[in-house]
Amino acid sequence: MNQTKLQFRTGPAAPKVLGVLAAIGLATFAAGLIQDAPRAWSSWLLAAFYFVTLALSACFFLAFNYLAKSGWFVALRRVPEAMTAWLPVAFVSMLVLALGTGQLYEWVQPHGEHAHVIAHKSPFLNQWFFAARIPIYFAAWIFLSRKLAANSRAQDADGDLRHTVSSWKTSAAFMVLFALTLSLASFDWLMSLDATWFSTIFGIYQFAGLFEAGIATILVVVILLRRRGYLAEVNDSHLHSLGQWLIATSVFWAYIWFSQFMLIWYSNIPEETSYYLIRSQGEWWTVSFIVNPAVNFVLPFILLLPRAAKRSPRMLLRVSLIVLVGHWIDLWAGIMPRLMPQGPTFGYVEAGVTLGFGAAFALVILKKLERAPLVPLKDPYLEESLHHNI
Amino acid sequence: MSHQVYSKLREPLVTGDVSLHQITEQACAPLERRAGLTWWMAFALALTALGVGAAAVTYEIATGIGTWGLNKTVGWAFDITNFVFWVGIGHAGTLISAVLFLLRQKWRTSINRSAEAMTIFAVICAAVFPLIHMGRPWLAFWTAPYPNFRGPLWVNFRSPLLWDVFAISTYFTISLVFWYIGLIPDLASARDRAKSKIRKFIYSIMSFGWNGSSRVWSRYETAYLLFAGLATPLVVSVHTIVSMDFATSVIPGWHTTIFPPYFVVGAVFSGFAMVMTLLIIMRKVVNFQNFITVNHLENMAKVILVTGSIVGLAYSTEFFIAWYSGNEYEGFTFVNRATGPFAWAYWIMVSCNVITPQLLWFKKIRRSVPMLFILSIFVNIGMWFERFVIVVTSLHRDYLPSSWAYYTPTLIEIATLVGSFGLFFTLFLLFCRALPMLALGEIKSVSKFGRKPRHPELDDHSKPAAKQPGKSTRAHQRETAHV
Repeated sequence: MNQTKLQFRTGPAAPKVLGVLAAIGLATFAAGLIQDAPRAWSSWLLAAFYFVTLALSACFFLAFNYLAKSGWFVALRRVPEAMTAWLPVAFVSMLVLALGTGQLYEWVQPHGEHAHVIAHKSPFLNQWFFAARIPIYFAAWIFLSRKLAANSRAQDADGDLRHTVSSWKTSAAFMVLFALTLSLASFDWLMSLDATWFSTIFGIYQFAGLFEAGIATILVVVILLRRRGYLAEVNDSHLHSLGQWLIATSVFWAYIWFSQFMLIWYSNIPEETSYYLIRSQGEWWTVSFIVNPAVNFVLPFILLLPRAAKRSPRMLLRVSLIVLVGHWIDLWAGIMPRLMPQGPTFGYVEAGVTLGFGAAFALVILKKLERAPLVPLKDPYLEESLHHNI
Repeated sequence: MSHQVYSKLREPLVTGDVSLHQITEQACAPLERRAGLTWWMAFALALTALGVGAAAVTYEIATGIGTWGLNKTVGWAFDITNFVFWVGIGHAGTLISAVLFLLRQKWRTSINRSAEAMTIFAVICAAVFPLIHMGRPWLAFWTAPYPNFRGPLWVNFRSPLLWDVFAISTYFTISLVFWYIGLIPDLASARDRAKSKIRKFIYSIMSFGWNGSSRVWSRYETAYLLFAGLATPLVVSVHTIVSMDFATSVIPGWHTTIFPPYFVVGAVFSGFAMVMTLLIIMRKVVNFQNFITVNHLENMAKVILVTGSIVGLAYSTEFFIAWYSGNEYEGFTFVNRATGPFAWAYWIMVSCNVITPQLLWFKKIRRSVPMLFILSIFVNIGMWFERFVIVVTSLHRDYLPSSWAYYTPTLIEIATLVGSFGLFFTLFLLFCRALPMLALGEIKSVSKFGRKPRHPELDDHSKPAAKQPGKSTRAHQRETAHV
């Protein structure tokens, strides 16, 4: 292994540029608050949740690979490990969100003809309990993801198998808590935006988007690192495997998207169709039913079907970027229509806040990647991964 | 292709240091020796059960569906429960052979053949139920959309019941072809070893002139991969469509959006439990312990634990959303399930599907064959009751309290269920005598896997490793802390 390229170093400019962009993001949010508070808060929710899903997806990727005893992912494992470092920042972003519940959620002050239905949910949907759940979710996510990353780095030093065993156990605990917390968190943060609406598949739907976008992020980071001469250990077969995950998760997303839509459409029950009704008005229809399935499923599926595409860094990078935009659109079409039923508008607030979050996310990943060798040097499965060949 | 490297942590997939020749010998032995007393006794039992079922179905068809315990409130009960139960069982085989193949899970090689056979037989059992539910099964061809002479009478493409016909027949066809393709090389082995002329003749026809050349193998592998890719979406689509039989309705307890993935996971759960039950018996009876090792059983136990927990999550989500929705009928249905006249069935379901599988968190239990056997039977029972609970408890107390009813199955219905088990085991026992129960070619390809000098500390992770010279005190403390 090439020792010099084992240690990642960012250039001197990158942190400054990213820091400035993050500050611009905060400034746009502040400006947005003055101009149109509900819209600014919606943009904050969109960006904050978007990056929570990327970081959580990385941790889920680590956990299921540990539990499945897979060997191939070891060479690129530092990338998802670094992505989980975002979770503490994400925690702060969600605590900030708790300040904006009054602007975002109808259930804070139920009014109108369905007020009694919303009031029924108040034992669960009230500001105090909503805010109290946030630290519970993040405590589980941060603690377990840090444990996985710490085990991995401790093994670099001593090569002790105990760290792998500990990661297996941590992963199992993560899976259980992840399933519970992600379901509830997606009910809290997203589903309750449409306060009278409900769908039992909603947690799985958010999971599908999370999974797909997480794989896309891992691919982007891995490919960019390879372009700069790092991660030479990651060969075309690793890219191929990640590409297979990307196509598989895009199909899974489509399956869950379709299941939810189809059952609600077919049964045509008013309290359920309300969700799709506002998303079929005007241009929201195009976004929800043409653009969203196209970028999250049709394009990734068709473009990645050939074997050669899954081994081409260029193609994988393009498709991953499409999927990352797609995940944003998916959340956008989930969050915004209730606020702007007249039609989709994309302005400086949405752009600025997301950009700011993106810059901060990139900064955290880059800093985290610097802190450890890019390859887990003494992992018991490393040899398998270095010889990954499919 | 460069040679594969395996971590020292990998456990061997084939134990007992058997040679390639011994693998063939051991795997073909059940085909070539005369059937023993155990087999004949099991076969007689299965045939009897099948006979009981056939008699019940004959009586039912001759008399009418009035022989069942259905009433005007509960119009779907035992028959549909059995249908969904058997379709669910039929999921593990193709999951093991297709999905695990795509995921490069090498441990699938020892269990895929019999699991696939089971899939096919389970789907056959499932198909019987809608057929007899028609009441006039001789009109079953009406479900086929062909130009007909019945005037405006045409199949209803908007009905999920019709989608079922397409989904299940596609699944059955692909599973059967996939299974048969996998069988061809092994049928050729059976042909080459056959002593009698008739035997040789039959296996020759069945193995399509397989000659084992590298060209044939290469095409075979390509075909196998393609079929795995085609079969994977089918594993998901079948139970998705079965779930839509219920979820497209507007009946509380049936209509909920989580049904498609929840049914698929439940099907994998029940399928793996049935594979586990059968393989535990089979490995003992025909001495396959070297091929179907405790590691294989442990892997299956992990799949059962994961899918059982997901099913538990789905139950809780449904319950939570029933309250959250604020819809009183939705809420009533779930409270009624847990506390109403069918509460016994609900709690059997929860205990067998969610609570007892949690024992599989313990490695000792995951590696204890008797415990796995018991737990897998529990899952089989629990998953039957899951379907019963969904079908019957959602119906028996509808919007009009004056029409509330209870449902009790008649003897005819119970005999039909017994008969379906009879059919399943008859087919499975015949399979054990007629076809190679292990995928010989595939097992040989992994027989060297994980077989190498082993690091002593890796054998049992729960025991502390002896302190190695040069290891830091901190590492040692960490180790001791883990114990």
